[in-house]
Amino acid sequence: MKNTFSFLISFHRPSDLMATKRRKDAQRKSPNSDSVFAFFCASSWLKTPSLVASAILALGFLTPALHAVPGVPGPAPKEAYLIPVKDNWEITISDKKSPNFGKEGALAENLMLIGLQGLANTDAPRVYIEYPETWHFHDFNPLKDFYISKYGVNFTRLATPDAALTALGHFAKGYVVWDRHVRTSINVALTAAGVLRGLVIDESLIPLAEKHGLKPLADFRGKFTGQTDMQIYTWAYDKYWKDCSRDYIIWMGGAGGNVMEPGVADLAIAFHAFVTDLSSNPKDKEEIAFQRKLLAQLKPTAWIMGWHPYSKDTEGQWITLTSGFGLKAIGLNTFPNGTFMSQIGFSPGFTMTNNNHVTRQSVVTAEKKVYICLVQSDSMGIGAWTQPERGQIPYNWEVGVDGAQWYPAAMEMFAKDKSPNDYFIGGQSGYMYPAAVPADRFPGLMKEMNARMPAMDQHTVGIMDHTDRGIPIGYFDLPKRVVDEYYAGAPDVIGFINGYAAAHTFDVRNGQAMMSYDYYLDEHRPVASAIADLDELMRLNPIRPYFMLIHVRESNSIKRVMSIINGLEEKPVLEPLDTFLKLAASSPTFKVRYKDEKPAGKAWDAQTQ
Amino acid sequence: MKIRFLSFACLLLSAGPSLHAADGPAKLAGTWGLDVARSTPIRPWDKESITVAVTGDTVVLTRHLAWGDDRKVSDTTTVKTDGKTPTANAIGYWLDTWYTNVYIGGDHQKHVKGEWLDDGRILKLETTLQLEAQQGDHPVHIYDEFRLSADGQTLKLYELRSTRDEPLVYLFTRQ
Repeated sequence: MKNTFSFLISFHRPSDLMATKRRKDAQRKSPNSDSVFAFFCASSWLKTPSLVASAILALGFLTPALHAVPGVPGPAPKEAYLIPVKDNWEITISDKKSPNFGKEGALAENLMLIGLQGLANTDAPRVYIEYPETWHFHDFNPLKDFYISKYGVNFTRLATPDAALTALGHFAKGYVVWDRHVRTSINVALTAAGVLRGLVIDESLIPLAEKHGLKPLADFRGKFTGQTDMQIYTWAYDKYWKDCSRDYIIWMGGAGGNVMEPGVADLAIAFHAFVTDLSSNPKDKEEIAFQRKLLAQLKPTAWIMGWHPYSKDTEGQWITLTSGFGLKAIGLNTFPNGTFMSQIGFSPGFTMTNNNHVTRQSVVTAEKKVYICLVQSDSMGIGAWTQPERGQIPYNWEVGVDGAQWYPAAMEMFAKDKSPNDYFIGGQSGYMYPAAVPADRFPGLMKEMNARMPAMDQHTVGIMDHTDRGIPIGYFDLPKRVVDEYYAGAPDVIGFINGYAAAHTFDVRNGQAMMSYDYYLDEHRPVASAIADLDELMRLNPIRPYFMLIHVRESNSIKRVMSIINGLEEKPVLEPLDTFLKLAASSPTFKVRYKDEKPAGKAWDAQTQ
Repeated sequence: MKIRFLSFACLLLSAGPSLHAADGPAKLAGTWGLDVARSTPIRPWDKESITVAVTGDTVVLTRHLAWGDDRKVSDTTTVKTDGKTPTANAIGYWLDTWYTNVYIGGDHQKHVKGEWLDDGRILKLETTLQLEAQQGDHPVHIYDEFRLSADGQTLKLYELRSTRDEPLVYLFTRQ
């Protein structure tokens, strides 16, 4: 899995300027002031021609205000609501040992609350969902306290769905019902709810919704019985696509079947996004064709948010397809509180800083030693950041370049908590495979990356390409043309790292090293085997200095990593990435290589099927 | 006494599944599935099997590795068991330590010599090849012994690699 938690919003789009103005207006209002404002507009607009004109102008602002305000960071609110969700994401309880086996799971209630968050947060950060400790983004758990202590946000807890609807029900114009027997109807309901501004519920929650004065906007019970996903999504396309965003689309993948973990449902509703989980598996030709039809209609700057469905396809298949349209993804479907985090910028006076050790111009000299650099990708949110051993050894964290826009407080929290041994790595905005990106789109990606990295004080670039997933070894290598594009597009960075699993793309030009991972540390690899692997690499690379870049899969504990390093036969020097890259460039003992152009012949076809 | 002992020995040889020089090599023939839990870790691969075919003094070992539903790969090793003739086998990828940046180098071939030991109970292989790592090609020698159990149902592979101090032990059961 690879996720960068990164978003793209062009800073130059006019809609963003409008969004900024809307934000300022919205920030002046209390969480409950929207309905008062709406009432004022509705009751006064017929009184005089000038008021009519004013009202039309006001409506002109209100209508686009329903789009894309999340993603425009601003000041924090003084007041916000806190809504807990339950630690169960099933449609129906499947635990046979549970006394509630076969009864309704908590998904329906949780989804309603996250959807309500999307409605309420469409134009201001009003609601923060309190996810259970087991939620995938566990590193974000302390964030709520950070909003309190650093930003001074006063959270009012809405402990029950009834309390949540009492406080926030007015943000819904009605409700949309999904069919408990047709899982895909949930995605259609989310799409409909974004367009119609509805509360997303199953039939069990209808009485609660109606108690709060809400009426049905759409009811999908029985609507899609017996239909395939293609039939269901085609119907949704015909019905709602014309009203859906071209800036965002939601992939509500991840877990399937009886389970859904809809962390991005708030973003779906706030953005009026089309919600789907179409397959990218080549065997699903119809779904791929339909997916292409959707992606082709998005804006070049659009974002795909969420994750692919594990039950249908693979990450590599999905990202290869989306990258072919030059579109970037943000993972995962469990990404929490996007509509809240992205509307609150850094705290006043805060500037993001990194632990920089060298500059692009620095001159360093490598000694005849083994240099090891430990990189944790997928780092912020789901990794080892919160472990007590952090700071004891140099560790490098791939954080991407988009955090300042989409989760600034989280970045601030992480950055303020960094130890002198923590170093942040940048890279292109979003998650995509560069080898699959159309050539005419690449310079724009580099320009955007270069514009964003200074704000994050990042000076090194991480690259990952997984387009050749069919080959058992070597599929994280870069063709020379892609390496050329990075060198041409990022002449001012200290250097580049490549891969996820190990790869053998290496280069050095103008003092910039491009190093691939020599090792992928699987969290399940026994310590003794990992030590033997690294010792063997040192024997296979006998020249010193030897530069060993290690990808530490995020599920590895730092304690475990230290035990592996301490067990090595030849004691290495651990370096932060910027220093590591400069040392490698100073003494390039590695062989310059790129992705193999696969030759015809038995030697290369002998093993692949 | 001597006659009685010889008779007892003959009885043992004829009654049990133990091996004779003549049929020993043939006993290795067949398909063997790896007992992953009792073997040196093969991750990320989930499954491994080896098919052994014996024809005269030629043995063909075909290894199948699988990872999830969509990643499968095989490699084939052909070897003369005269103990002296190296057989060149085309090889595309180094599959044995997936986590490392190690590729097949040199001529993309491994050169394998083989012989039977212990009356055909053990197949010994000696392999030389070039592995390509970050700094270029590096010569590697691999010593393998496939040892058949007395009941013919278990095959153990002991492997030593010149670049690795950790011995590798794989336990296969007959499929």
